[in-house]
Amino acid sequence: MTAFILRRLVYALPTLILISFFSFVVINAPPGDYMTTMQATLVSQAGMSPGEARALVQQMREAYGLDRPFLVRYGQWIGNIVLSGDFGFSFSFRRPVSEVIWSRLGMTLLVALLAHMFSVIVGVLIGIYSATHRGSLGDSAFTVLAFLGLSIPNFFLALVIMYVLVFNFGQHVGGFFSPQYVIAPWTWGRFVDFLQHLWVPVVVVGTAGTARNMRVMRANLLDVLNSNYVRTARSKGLSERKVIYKHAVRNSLQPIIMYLGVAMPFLLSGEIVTSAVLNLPTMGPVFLNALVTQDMYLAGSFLMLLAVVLVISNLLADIVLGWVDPRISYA
Amino acid sequence: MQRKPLLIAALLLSGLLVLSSGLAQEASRNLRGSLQLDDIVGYGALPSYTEAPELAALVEQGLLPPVEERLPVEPRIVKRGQMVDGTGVHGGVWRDTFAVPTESWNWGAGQTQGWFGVNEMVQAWLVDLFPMWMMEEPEPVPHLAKSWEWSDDGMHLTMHLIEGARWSDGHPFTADDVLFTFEHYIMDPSVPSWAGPSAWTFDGEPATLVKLDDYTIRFEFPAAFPVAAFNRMGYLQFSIMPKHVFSAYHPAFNPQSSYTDLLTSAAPQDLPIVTMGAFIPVVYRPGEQLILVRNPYYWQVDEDGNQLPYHSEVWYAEATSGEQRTFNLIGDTGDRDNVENPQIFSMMFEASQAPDSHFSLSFEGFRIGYRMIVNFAEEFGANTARERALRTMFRTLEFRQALSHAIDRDGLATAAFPGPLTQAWYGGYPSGSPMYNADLVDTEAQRYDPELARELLAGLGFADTDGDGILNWPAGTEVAGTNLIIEVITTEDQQAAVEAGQALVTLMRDVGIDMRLRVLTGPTFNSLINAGDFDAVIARVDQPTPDIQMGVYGPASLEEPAWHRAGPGGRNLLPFEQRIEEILTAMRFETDAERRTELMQEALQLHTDNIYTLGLYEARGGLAVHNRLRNVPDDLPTYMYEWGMEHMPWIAFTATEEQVAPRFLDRIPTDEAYQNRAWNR
Amino acid sequence: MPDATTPSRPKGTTTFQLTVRRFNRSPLAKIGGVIVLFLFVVTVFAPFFAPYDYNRTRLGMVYIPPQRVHFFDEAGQFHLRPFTYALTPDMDPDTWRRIYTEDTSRRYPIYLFVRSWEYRLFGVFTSDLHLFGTEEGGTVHLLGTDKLGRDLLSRIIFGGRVSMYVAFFGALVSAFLGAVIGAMSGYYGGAFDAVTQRIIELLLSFPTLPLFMALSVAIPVEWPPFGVFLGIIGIFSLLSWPVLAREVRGKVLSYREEEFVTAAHAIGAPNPYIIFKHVLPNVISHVIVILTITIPELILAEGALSFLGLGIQPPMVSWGVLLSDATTLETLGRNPWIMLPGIAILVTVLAFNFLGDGLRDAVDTTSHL
Repeated sequence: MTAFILRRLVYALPTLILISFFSFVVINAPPGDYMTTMQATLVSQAGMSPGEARALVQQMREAYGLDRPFLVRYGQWIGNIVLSGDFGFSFSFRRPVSEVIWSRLGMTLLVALLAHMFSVIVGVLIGIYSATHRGSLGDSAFTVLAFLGLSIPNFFLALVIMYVLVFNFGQHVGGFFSPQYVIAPWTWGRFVDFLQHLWVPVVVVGTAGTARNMRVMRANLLDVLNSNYVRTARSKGLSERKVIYKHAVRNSLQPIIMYLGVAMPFLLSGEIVTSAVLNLPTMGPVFLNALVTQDMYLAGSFLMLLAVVLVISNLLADIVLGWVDPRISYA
Repeated sequence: MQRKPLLIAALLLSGLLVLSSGLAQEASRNLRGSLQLDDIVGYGALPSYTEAPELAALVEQGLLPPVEERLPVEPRIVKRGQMVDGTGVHGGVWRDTFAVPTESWNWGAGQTQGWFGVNEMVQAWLVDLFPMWMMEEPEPVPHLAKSWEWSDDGMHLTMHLIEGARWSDGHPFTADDVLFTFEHYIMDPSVPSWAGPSAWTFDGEPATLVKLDDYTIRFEFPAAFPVAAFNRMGYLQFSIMPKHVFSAYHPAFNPQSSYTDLLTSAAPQDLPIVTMGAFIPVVYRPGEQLILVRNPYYWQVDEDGNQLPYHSEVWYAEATSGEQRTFNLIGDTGDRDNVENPQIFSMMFEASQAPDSHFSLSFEGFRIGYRMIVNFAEEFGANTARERALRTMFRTLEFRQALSHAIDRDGLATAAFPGPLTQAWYGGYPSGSPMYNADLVDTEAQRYDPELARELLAGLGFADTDGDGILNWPAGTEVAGTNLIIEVITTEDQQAAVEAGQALVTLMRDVGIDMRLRVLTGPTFNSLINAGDFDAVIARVDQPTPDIQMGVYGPASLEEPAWHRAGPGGRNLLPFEQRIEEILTAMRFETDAERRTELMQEALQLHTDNIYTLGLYEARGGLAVHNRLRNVPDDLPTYMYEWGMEHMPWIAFTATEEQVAPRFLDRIPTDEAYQNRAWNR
Repeated sequence: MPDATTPSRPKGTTTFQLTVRRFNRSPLAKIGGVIVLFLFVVTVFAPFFAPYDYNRTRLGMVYIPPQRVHFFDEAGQFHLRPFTYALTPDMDPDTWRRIYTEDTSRRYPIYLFVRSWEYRLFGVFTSDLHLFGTEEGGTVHLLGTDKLGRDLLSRIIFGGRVSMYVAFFGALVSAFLGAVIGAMSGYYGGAFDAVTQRIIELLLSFPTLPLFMALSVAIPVEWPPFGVFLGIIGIFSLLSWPVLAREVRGKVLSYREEEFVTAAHAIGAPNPYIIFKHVLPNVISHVIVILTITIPELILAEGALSFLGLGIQPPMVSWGVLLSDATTLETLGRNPWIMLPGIAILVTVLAFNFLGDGLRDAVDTTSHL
């Protein structure tokens, strides 16, 4: 088992390195850098002459090492990350990138995980119903509904929900807390307020995955329900319900657990746009802003982290699966 | 027995007083143009002072010196004249919203703390321009400089600073701070301050500042009585920097520090900061909230001796767009809003009219203008033959007239808002400006008449020679035969300007001009403007005071106006521009109010007769205020000399029973919070 | 099985017929197919279906709500031909809302196949024929107008054209790339396979949207909208091929050992020939399925990108661009019909998903239904 884990880890390393390099390349693709933006601001807002601004900006470029060749910058960046966990400096936040990301990563992952749980729970329940009532009107209706969830653009859904909440229910929308609870100790009231805000992004981001989970659940359950060991269990006299829940469901859940790895990218993508609409303090808006202003260490680090999270969650899913399913051996 | 008549007299007197104050109150909720300087401010020692209970508690614990020691010898007294609800009570929270992330707390270096009023919360400036809107005869109002006098020849201005005031860490405020700000921020070309050396240049020579003693300074000017200098002594342009903090980062004082270090100092999380503003930022969650608490060392009091500000805390919610402020007010999580986007007027109005509405909405005169400016500079920023040819055309009156006749101003105004809160605008100053005079503006000469526009263009030699619907340049020009293309830029922050631009594209096409709209981000937009690298711009004008912000309307300096900057080789002003320039130069020294108005109105007529800018439409500014805020005058402008509501937080208060409970009283900075910081290690 | 009505000669069913039969079992897939077909026709012939030029600006007629179509006039009389009334703009003094009152003095019947604004089709044909419209002076804004008085239905139709083209061509190019690379990878194996596998893994490690976003920002600002349009297609193509490549590779690997391939090899047929003539046709069905599934993903991706301001640029219009106009709460509060492009995206993506799902079930011989 440990050998398996180690082997997968080692195998993942070159991928991770490639990911980091690719991220850095992509982020540096646009011409210019953050200093170009800064230079423009200096000339406009501060009334510096273009020459003065250029000189000052050149100073800053040198201070941040932005004038060094590409590979040198990449080497420095990745070296700092590996050796000291230093992801570079964010020009727009004036703080180390790690601080910026760290303070927001938690919320980002929380929403993604909760959305996944939502899509799994709802998807599984609907899938079970569909499989056991195959061909019925309910089955078709749920199928259509699941597809609906899959097809609706999440920013559109966020807009619609926001509209209904604000104009029909007069609720506060935006962020994770109402203003009086933003900086406050954790009380019951704050917790309730948090939930009241949290459900919107969770549902919006989770609806897309619901369809997939439902389809998979349904298909697998149908498979399993017709398989040998279930027939055996039935013939032994077990009640239908017991058969379904005890044997069939458990075996069908496997792929869904595995899907966490696959679902992660979709969840994170969906979250970026949803956060922009709902003004959530997650990485989404920060990433968008970093791209536009070429805050490259921030953008590059986040892009890389997304990929790394994906690789790791795949790995974890593999491990969990191997642990849960005795059929898979790790010779 | 003898007491009875006295008692009766006392009752009568008090009755009269109550009645009269009631009447006075009825009459004085509108303050515009009604006050004298004495009604607004004074400086003096009062018999006793009252501080907020939370500060008294800290004094009790020995964490703060008593209020008499924290206040200056003669605090600045905010007079009742400005307080339409009288002196206030301590406590409560001012809730607001901002939509620009805090850059840093180094405001002197051109960095914003968030706009939307955040800057005004933490800065303190030399002279106050804001109260001018309340004065019968507007003149600059003392702030940190409590009085001044000109020398007889007008070359020296001696200013006396408030004595014994302290920064929020207890460090004394002296002339050293003022000098530090002037010499090492404003006049230092490597520091991107809001006003630079060119703002302090008169007749080609820079002004200098001299320290006479700890509380006296003297400006020495190369020309006599440059009264316009006061316009540079207010908020933002002369907000004082604490020398004991920033000299640690300034290369002139710390050889190991560079300008880069200076510009990256005072990071948003480096709290609490040293300030003389009314409030001190103590917690900042980027993207979420900024919390400020009252400054224990604030140097202003009311006439009853209550130390200002009244509110204990300010909570700023951070949003991604200005609209959130509107929705926070409607949802009762914010206390006020400047309503500037015509699209939102209707929603705000309905919300304010609801029976249980908690805020009031008022609209003022027309002060917001949307205009298109065309580039007059012959050389500066004109890099191609097309651009040069276009500049020549822009400098031709008939061409500007053609452009003007192609614009359906009423249509634009109606598209923005279907009612009387928007209207056509023909350039010059917004009609709500005190310097405006409708009689001088010939609207007929700028009427919507596409046919006439086409005629004028044909008269200039333009014709559609290739039949594609777009006019071609006449023979004899450098770009003869090519399509007449005008590239217009605008900024994405100003949604209404973007929409007006989109509408203009169609209107121009109607007369054969291929107008191309480019919507840019703020910094890119600004950089192109300052490089003179544009054909035309569509943007909003906020300042209805052309006598103060002269550069927004004409050649007040070499870099102004934005549409005719001087290049390295100078610039070639047209005759009417030269006359406007003369007027503006005279304005820098003119003190007589009537004469000033005369001059500005002459400039207005020159401006509109020659279509110096192409006005599109103007809108009324709206102010929405939560009902529980007291001391907000009914006719408070959104912007007059300075932003209105943004200057109210230390004058406004909330009645005790309506206060929002403060929650960060334990964060009030005392000595400990300022020890062992980066600048004093 | 032969039945009484068929000729006695035993007749086998081809794979294609089996596939079609399986496809027909799913009503959803058929609905999806019909809708997709309809969408294609509408977007290709967009100017015909659009009653107005999508850039036609009328400043006096902004934010008209979806116009009411009448069959009964003021007097209660029924007319077979539906009609609209002209609209007079006004402002409600109590709410300051923009309102439009119908001028019932004159009816404007809606005709089919009218002649109104001119357009060019495929850059070659000029025409002025439109599916429906009304007389001069009347308006038929079935979905209302936007902030510049532009007809929303027309904008949705033209926007759909851009969104569909971007998605379709992006998917097509990526399908082509994926099929070819996947086939070569599976067939040749070795170093080529190893390298492409790495690249595929690398590209699949990134969540798509952030990668799209990062690359869109690299498109130079100076490019005209059409250039940006092509750039977006390019980005989509470059980043979507890995999924298909993997699928194809898998299929090719299994086919490679088949006898007909070894036989062709033995005869001396060149490898590319084998790939293209023998292997690929067998995977073509899978390619088509994946193509059909990629298109809705790309429509959603373009929607998100343009919504965020990174994708299609005005004056070009796409559904994402149209929706970015709907983000302000004042628009939602006062003019909710501006959100209708979202419905268009929803229906389109739904239809493609139904269709793609049905196709996949039809093609995949091992699935249950």
